Amino acid sequence: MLFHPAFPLLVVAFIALAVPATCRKVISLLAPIISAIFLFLLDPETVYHMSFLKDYHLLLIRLDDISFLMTLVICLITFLFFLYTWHQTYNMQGVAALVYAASAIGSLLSGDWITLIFCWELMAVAAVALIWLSNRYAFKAGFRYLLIHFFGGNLLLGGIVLLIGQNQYVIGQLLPSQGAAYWLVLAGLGLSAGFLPFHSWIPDAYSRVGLGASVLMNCLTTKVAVMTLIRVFPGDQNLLIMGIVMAFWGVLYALRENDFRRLLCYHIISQMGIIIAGIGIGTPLALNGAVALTIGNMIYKGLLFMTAGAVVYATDKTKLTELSGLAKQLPGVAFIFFIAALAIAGMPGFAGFATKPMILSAASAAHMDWAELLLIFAGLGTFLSIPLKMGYFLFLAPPKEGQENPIKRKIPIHMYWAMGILTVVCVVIGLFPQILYQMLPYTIPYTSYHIGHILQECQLLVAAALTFYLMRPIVKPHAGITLDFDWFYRVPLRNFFLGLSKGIDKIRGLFWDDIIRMVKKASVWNRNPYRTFAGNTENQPVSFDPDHYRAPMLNNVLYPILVLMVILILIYVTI
Amino acid sequence: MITNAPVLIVLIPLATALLTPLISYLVPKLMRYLAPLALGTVTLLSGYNLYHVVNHGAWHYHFGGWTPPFGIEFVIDPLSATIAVVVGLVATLVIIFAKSYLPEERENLLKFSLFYVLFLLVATGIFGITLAGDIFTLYVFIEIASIAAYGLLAMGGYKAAVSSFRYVLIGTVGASFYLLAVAFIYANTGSLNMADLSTLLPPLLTDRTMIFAVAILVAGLGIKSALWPMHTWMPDVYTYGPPPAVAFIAGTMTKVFSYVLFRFLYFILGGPGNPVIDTVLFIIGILAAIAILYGSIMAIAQKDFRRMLAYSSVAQISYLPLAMAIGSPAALVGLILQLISHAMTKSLLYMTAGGIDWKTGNVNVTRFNGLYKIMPITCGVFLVAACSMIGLPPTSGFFAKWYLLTGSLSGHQLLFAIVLVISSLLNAIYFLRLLERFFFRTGIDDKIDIQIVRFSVRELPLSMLVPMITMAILIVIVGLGSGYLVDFALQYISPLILGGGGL
Amino acid sequence: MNKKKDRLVIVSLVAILAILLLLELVFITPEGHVIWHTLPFSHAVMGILFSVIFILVAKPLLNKILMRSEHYYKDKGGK
Repeated sequence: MLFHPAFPLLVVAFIALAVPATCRKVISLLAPIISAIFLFLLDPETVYHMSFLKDYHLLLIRLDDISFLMTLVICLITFLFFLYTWHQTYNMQGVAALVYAASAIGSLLSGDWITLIFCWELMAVAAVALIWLSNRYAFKAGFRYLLIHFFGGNLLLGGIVLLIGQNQYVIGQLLPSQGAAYWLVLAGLGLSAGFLPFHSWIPDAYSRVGLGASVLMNCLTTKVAVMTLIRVFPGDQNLLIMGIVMAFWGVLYALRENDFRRLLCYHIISQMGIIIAGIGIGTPLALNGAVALTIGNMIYKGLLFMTAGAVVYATDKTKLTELSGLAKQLPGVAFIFFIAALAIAGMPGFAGFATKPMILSAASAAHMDWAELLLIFAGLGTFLSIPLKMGYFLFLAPPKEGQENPIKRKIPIHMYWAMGILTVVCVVIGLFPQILYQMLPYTIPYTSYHIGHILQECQLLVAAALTFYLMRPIVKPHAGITLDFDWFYRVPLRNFFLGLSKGIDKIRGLFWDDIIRMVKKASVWNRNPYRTFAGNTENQPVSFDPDHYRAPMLNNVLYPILVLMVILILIYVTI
Repeated sequence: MITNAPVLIVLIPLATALLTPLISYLVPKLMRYLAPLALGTVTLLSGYNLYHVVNHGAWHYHFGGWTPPFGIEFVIDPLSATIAVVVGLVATLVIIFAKSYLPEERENLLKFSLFYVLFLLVATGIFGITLAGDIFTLYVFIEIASIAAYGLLAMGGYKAAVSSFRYVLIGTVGASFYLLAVAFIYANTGSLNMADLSTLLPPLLTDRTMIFAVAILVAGLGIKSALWPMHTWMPDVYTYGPPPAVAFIAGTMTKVFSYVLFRFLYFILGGPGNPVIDTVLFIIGILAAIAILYGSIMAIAQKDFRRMLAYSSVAQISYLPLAMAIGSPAALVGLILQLISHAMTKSLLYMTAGGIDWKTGNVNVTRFNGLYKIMPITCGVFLVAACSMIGLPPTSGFFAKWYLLTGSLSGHQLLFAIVLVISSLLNAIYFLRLLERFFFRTGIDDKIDIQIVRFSVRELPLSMLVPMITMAILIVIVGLGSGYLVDFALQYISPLILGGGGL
Repeated sequence: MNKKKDRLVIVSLVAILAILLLLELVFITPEGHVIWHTLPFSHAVMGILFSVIFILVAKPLLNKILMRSEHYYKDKGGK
């Protein structure tokens, strides 16, 4: 129990509040390392429980392959977060990040529903704090994040309460036959994982938050949600359908986006869709693939966010219409970007090729061929949006005529260090995927480096690249936003609530004076209770004055004797 | 030495108290550290006692090898060990807190050392009360504690001396009532040992002298534990006494007397089966209910922060007699939890009051607007204490009130349940009012009127901040770990459960 | 200048694609139960077809329905 990997992060978060600035940065950097050490110190298959109320045991740690792997990667990314944001003055953003990571680890390691919901809500709070602290302009985005996540948290809580009522304490599979609990938990978890139509918080929040924070946030809430989905709904057909819809939706919107950070965020939804589709297929190979793709996403998507952040840091611009041809000026960033982008697209030799095809193979092995086809289709969109659209228009395209040098400041060395470490991990997984495969939950022999596979994938990608290049003018970024489901709660819902509160305020205005008058009367009554109860109000002070009411000493001796008498009389009467 | 742990708990503070004047004359610097060290050691020893008793069963420590009923003994069972630990913790933290209150100069050496002497003597007395195994030893320690307390509380100025003098008069009456009861019991049974008496007394309860003894015992202990209407000494004494002294005494002394009453009524006199005891319990239940409502209403009316806390104490202390009157197992568990929780919470609140007084020289509630800006940690700690008093999870106050409520509902005492709920609401009124003033700088009057009287690097000196923060953390920890505590306390109360059944 | 670069890129991509198609004919024995696993050149065709569909749907089609100006939400009062 003492070695719960979330403890070092929490303890350091507290300490960081009290310690001077440089010290904070150093200990924040060390905290994830200590967490990782704690993780290795836990015996495999540990289960630690603690009794809570009568009959209920909290399973604080339930270690299995999935949580081990995820916790390890979370520690890595947290470490890189602090390395990446080393140049910023440590406002409380670091504390929020530590608490966020700690609660994410807590959710992953929890074995029962109550611990899960506690850590879940803590994650939401810490994430909102992180959004608000990392960027002054993200206030409203953070507020929308808060609304959506508390709504989702309440749905999850409702489901959990129903489950506990059915005496199901441990996190385990849920079936539609369990009625409302199933749907509530599905909705609650899915909202955090990015289910349509409640996915808009991902592009909204992650694109507006600070540069390092988006790296961290990418790998926490959505991934934890999806790993919990694996435990609770493996093989569920609803997930398969939702996953495929999400895969398409995300990529379509990503292709349209102008702001490249938003592009990456929409793409998160697409990747989440593929992972969820994998969970929906449900065979061990598919679940392995889902876990592998999640880990892969944390790594290469995180790397993409880092490069995007580096570009924003250097140029202060986030729109593709305003930037192009940065490969000449930021060659290192461009190189790292393309490694990550090709990884995410699934080019053989890069990390994505080790992870995504697992799900596709699983689909075809389970004879869900339509799913496989659709996933190939959606996967193509990934290639189109990130290496092609973003990579070409941001880095490779020739700069517009007359555009002055957009680079405002040099990218600090520690950002390169952070990106470098993650690139190395990415490349290693790409070239030696067996390292990842060993740590996956189900031992199934799988190899992706199989000549037919490689050739087919390469054909797919090269053909797509050709088409893209020929259709460049159509795909060119344009200034403008795309409406998404968040329109519903940003325009009509908002106006509804504003109108409602204005209406209620009007009603209050009608009664307010009377209410104030009543309160004033009550407070007079209350200011000196003796006066109110005594009746004779003439020579009694308005406010309670102890000296006025202090009884003479005799009374203090009389009362005990009185009590004595009462006791004796009552006893004699009752005997 | 460890085998003598029970007596060391009383001996160490006593010896330190006697040594203090000498040391303060010779090496004043040492003085500040000696008392916390002594009390810290005592707390550790009580912790060891608790551990020992939980693993090996109740410990009867015979003085001088004389076996009872001829010799004196100290009895340590899980209940008294827990209370000893709590008292020790409160005492240690408060004495560390008190360090900044005492003057530095050599000229005021007398006052300086006198505070420590009296504090340690009160601590001796209270530890002795908790551990005593004979009723006359109990009286001795009651007197030690009370007399030292009279002196300690008089150290706060002119008004403190007068209030303390009134306390002397009433308190002596109470102690004398207790002594009279002891005399009657001894005359009737020839024994003073509690374990012995628990077999000898219950059959004798129909005898007229015994009935009188019980009545006067309850009256005497009621005076000392501030049961309505015998509470009148309390508001004055707590308002004018020096804040660290009040923090310790408000936190522990009245509760320990309630605990003694609990011991007598439930363990020595046989518990609620007997008609005499039933009537007594009924009366103190009614008085407690009145006290709870009275205390809460009066607290709302107060402008002085410390007096408000004193009336709040009148209400909260009366939860203990209320729990005794309810009598169901859950209520008894709630009694123990309330004792522990309120000990920590009240001492924390008085430490906060002391801190604010030290920093701003002001205890008038109307001038607390916006205190958060100047003293954020104090306000944060006050927030935790207020949550515990109102009864919000995860603080210990919530768990105490929870058990009391479930106990009163399972014992079908609907009236008491209603009183409990109303008192929580009334508590909320005056605590939330203060929280609003602290944090949001508005009140009926919206101005900020605080002056800083004493300068310190942080908002308060570290020796004042650390005990407060520690106490706040402990309140939360005890709350979260109340499950484990209940397992400890329950194993001792369960022989009492009449009519069987769980919670 | 640009046109020359364009031509270079297109030609090289077509060349790579052609090499891959040839390699496929040489190395792969078609297996699998669905048409796109067995048909030769299937993945290249899919690549072209799906990309065209994507790009055409994403841009011109959705532009008409869903595109708004950058200041849309600010104008509506929120942010």
